[in-house]
Amino acid sequence: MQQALPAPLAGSAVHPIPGVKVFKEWDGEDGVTGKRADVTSSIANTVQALLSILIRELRGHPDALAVFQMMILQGQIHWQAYASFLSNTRNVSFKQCEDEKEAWLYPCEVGKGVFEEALKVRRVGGERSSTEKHTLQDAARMMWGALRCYQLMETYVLCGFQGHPQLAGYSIGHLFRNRVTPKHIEVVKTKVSSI
Amino acid sequence: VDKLGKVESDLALLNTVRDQDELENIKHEVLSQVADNKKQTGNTFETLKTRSVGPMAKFYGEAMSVKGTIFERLGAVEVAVTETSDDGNLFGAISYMGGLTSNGEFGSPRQTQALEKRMAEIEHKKLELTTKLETLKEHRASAVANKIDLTPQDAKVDGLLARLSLLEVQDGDAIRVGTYTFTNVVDCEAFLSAKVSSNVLSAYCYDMVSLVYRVSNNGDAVSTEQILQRDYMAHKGGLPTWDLRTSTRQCSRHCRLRWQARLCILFLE
Repeated sequence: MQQALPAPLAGSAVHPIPGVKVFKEWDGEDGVTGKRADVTSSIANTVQALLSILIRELRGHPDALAVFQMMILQGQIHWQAYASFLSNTRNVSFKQCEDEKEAWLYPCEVGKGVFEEALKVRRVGGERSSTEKHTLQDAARMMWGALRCYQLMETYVLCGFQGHPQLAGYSIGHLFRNRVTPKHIEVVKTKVSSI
Repeated sequence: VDKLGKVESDLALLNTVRDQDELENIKHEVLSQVADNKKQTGNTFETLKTRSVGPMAKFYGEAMSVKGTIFERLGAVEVAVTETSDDGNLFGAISYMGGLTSNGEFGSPRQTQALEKRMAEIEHKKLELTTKLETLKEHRASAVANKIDLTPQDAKVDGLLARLSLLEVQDGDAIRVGTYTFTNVVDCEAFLSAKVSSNVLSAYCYDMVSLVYRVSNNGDAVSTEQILQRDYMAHKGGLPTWDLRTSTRQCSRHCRLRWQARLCILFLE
């Protein structure tokens, strides 16, 4: 809860998502290769393991079990929606601009925005009341951070990510930088002055 | 002189009789009345025989026929006297009519039992009626409430309510997971305190980002067995469940280093 991009997607390169600089690294389009398939598979294994541990640890606590199970399973669904958004949007962009690099850059800008916005709501979970002990208050803050991220992702998925007002700035900024030429700006200026 | 006086008396009596036929009629009336009295007396005796003397004689015979000592016979008589009966037992019949009780008070045991039975029936009926009345009252109340609920609201109010509920969901103030609604950190604290054991706490509060953090750095898929093995080793090392998430970079650097150090000590051992 201290940094935006998680390890598989993070990196040192200058790119919105440095872990996958080109589309081929992200999606081999065969359903097997690429970071998308690896991360999805790893998350599926993690979820399976977590659920089995959860059932063991929370025996006798059905309410907590139901809430945590739902959060974990919804988290997996959110990832699948996020991954699909990146691939689908890249394909749509590629058809529009026919530029390999720019077509992948656009969903990555929005995708990075998703993690940055998530960090804003999750940051509360990183606060600690003690370095030696994990208190109930710390646990509550972590849960609140996770719940806020859960809620945020629900709304993002519902709006198809790029349709959400919070992510509009990321997509508009990218489009303005990459799709709008000086000629377009001059045309707009002319129209505004005529009005 | 005496004879003369008697003759004068008879003559005076004869002088009072006006008609011979009237005398005959009076004689017949007197005779018929005597016959009626005789018949009535016979009936009375018959009744006395069947209703009183007969049962008493029967009871006496039964009481005296009991073999045994005088005390046993007295015991039999006592039982017969206190027994409640309306057929054959004279004392029982008297007792049934309320004239004789075991303790000398008014009202026989049977009469008391009958009264108790009647009272129980009345109480039961009262309870039924009270229940019915309450049910009717409730129905009346609910009918009114239904009418209030069905009162058509202003369309503007409906729209405002819809927008309000939408805003409540959108602004993140109320997060609903299953049947639970969380509005702030305090709600989470109350939930963890009440529903989760102390050794687990927030160890399983995962969201999408947390799940991605659990993926290895190079993105390679980690098998379920590896995850379970790591969890087992952590447990063996004495780490509480809530500390397991340190491997996902959720905790501070200090906690992560502490966890790694404990694992190293475990492996060295």
